[in-house]
Amino acid sequence: MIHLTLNQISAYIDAELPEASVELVRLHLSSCLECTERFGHIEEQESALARLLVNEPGDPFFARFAERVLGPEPVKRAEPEKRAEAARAEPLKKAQAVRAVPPPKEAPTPREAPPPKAAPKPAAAVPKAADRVTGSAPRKAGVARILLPVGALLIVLSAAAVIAIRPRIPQISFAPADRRPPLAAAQARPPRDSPPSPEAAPHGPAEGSDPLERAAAKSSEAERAGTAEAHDAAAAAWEEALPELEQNADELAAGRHEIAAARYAAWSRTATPERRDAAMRAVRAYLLCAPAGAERDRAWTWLAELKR
Amino acid sequence: MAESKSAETLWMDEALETERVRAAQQGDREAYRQLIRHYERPVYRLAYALTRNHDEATALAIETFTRGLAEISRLPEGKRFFPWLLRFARNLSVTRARRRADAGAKGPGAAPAPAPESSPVELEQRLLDALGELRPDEQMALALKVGERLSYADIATLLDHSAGVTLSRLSSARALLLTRTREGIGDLS
Repeated sequence: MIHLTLNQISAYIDAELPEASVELVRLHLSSCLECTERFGHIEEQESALARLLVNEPGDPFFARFAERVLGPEPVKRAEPEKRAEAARAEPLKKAQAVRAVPPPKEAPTPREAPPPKAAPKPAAAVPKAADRVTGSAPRKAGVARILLPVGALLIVLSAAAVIAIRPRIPQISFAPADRRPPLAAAQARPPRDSPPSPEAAPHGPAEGSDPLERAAAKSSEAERAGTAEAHDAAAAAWEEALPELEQNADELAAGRHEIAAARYAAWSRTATPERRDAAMRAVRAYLLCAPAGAERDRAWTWLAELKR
Repeated sequence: MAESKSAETLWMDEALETERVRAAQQGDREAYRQLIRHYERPVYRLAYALTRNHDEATALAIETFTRGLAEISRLPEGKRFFPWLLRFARNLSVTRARRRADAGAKGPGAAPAPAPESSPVELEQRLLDALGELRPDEQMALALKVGERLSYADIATLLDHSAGVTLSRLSSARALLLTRTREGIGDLS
């Protein structure tokens, strides 16, 4: 028997064969086990390729993309000084909101800014694993864009941001109790019943302007509520925050891990086809940038479970 | 069978694109920003399909547009911007892959031998390993087929060859991937 060539199977799969040839291929496939098997393998491969080669980072990513090629869009109207002033004050305002310390009356100028040693806890003392999603790098990038020439302020603000956000991250846990996130990350987090850190967001579930703060708040809510919907919301918040982490590969991987864990947790609480698809996409996105280790191994088991 | 997507939504209106390109050639960065905004998604998707990594895809897409900006004055009159830009993506992707290989990363021929049985997860792992072995033109055709679901004719237009060449490249890419991920398939020609 003459078998189908791979060109014929390819064109058939891609709907590029003329109608007459389509009928011939169908006829052959109905009677040839070998070609049917090969066709099945290629179809399966195409599905896997579609999962592996397609990624949609979402609108927040593209909202800033052109800027990353060309720099910021020129300001069209007046009041540039006001904008610059507001931008300078923004990182500190975020840090103050999280730390719950009395804010200074005015945003400090570069020369007035306190030195890093004034911070309550030096960044070097932060546990390494807990440092993964601190959001410090994006903050640095944001500040650098605004005040590139002012190196001193950049350092001070970065230190403030690290200190401000650090305590939130260890409290995040998305997976249900029996499907905990990776051991390393879990170990870096305080026990579930430990009292909340006084440095943690003091105003309850924050709906602030910082996507990282929002994501952290949603994670805490998901942890408390334990519902699929809450984990959905946490995943969505982390997806929104992801562009904040793009400056640093480790942080980005950690962010993608949080999304994957939240999506998986939502699916494991209340399984729906949509949650399964979302979880599979999130886990795959994480696996593609995940460093080797227990977290990555665990994610593979999530993927296997989702595919069952 | 997979239905192909129309490429119409992919393209910027030709007259508008020509106007933007001309302005960009005169040094109007905002005109180039408009070109970026129109083509950033397909360029990113292509970059992702070529690199399978968000960070690398982002860097490749940014570098592609940056190179396009630097070379925009050389875009011949009457030639469309997008296919011209894709050549930079292709070449930069090759350069990056070579750099990775030189740095000791897994290169062509280093894929692990396939096991007789494979779960979907294992299949994906093997595909990830095998994708790096495809030739750049095969990768481009596969990326546009899988990522954009374009017809052979559209892919041919973008890559500046014939629809027959598109079929040939897709088939050879699929054959190699099958060989790397399966055993006992036999002659795939």
